Amino acid sequence: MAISSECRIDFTGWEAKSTRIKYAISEAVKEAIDYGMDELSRKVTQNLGGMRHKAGTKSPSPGKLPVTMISGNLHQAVRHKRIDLTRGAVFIDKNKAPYAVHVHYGTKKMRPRRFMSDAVAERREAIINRQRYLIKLKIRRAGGNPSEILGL
Amino acid sequence: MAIRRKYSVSDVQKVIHALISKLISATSPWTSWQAVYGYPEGEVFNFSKLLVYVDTPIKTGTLTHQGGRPAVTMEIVLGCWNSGGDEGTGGVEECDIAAGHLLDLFGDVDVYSTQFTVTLGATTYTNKTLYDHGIIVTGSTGPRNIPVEDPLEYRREVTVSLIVTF
Repeated sequence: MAISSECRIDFTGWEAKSTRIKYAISEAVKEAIDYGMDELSRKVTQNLGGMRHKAGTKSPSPGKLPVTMISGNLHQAVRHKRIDLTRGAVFIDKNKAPYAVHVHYGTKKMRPRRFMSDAVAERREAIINRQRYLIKLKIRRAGGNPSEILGL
Repeated sequence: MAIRRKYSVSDVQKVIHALISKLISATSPWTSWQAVYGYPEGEVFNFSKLLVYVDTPIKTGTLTHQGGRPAVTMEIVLGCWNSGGDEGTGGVEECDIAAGHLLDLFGDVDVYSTQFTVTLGATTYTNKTLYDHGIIVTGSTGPRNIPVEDPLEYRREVTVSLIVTF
């Protein structure tokens, strides 16, 4: 006489939860990248929004941020674009302000005004904290435990 | 720990400048270069040597731990500028050599063994190391090629990440 036993495990619930969390993470990452780009663009634009002065006159605050404006082209040349799901870029439109690089890094006759790298240094910690919060929140809403999933 | 919390930006800049000045005063090939505190403005371009400039550091974050005073993370830009009086003798290669030496200096434990003298406020600290001043190097990146206006001008920048304790 043969003895047999059977054990059935239903993984459908686990699978549904896993799919839900995966989707939540991809949505959260998208939102986090958008937030990072928005925040950085805002800060860079702010760094470029100094007082106006006439062409041919010296800047009233040389070497200091915010960068003073003559035409305002550089102030209007801040752009951002999504590269892929996990990456975005904030940049200056070279066609609109080809002199941006000289303003940023300085020349022999002009002190640098690092409007981009200063914005990154200043906002990096805040952006990362906010992104981490957004991702954790979405995972939690999808029924997951962020510390188990992200190890944070 | 010699760095003063309220003067951390200028103190860190002075300490890094003193370290590089010490190397420039004593060690080859650093002796072929010239250290500049801050951004090299128009008047310093009379120098006949390649400039190594120490720009103003930027605070990038705070490191907190229970029971202690927080440390800060900073980034400092060090640049090499081959230009001025000698019209860029050594060309782009000299500039790259200087940038390479900066990268190597801050990428090696030897950075902590160089002793230098610096005055912070009213106090002169003689023959102290970077570590004595409470500065820890966490990394260096670059060199970035910086666009210049003249054809006989070459410029590179290296970014050094630091933890500053008080």
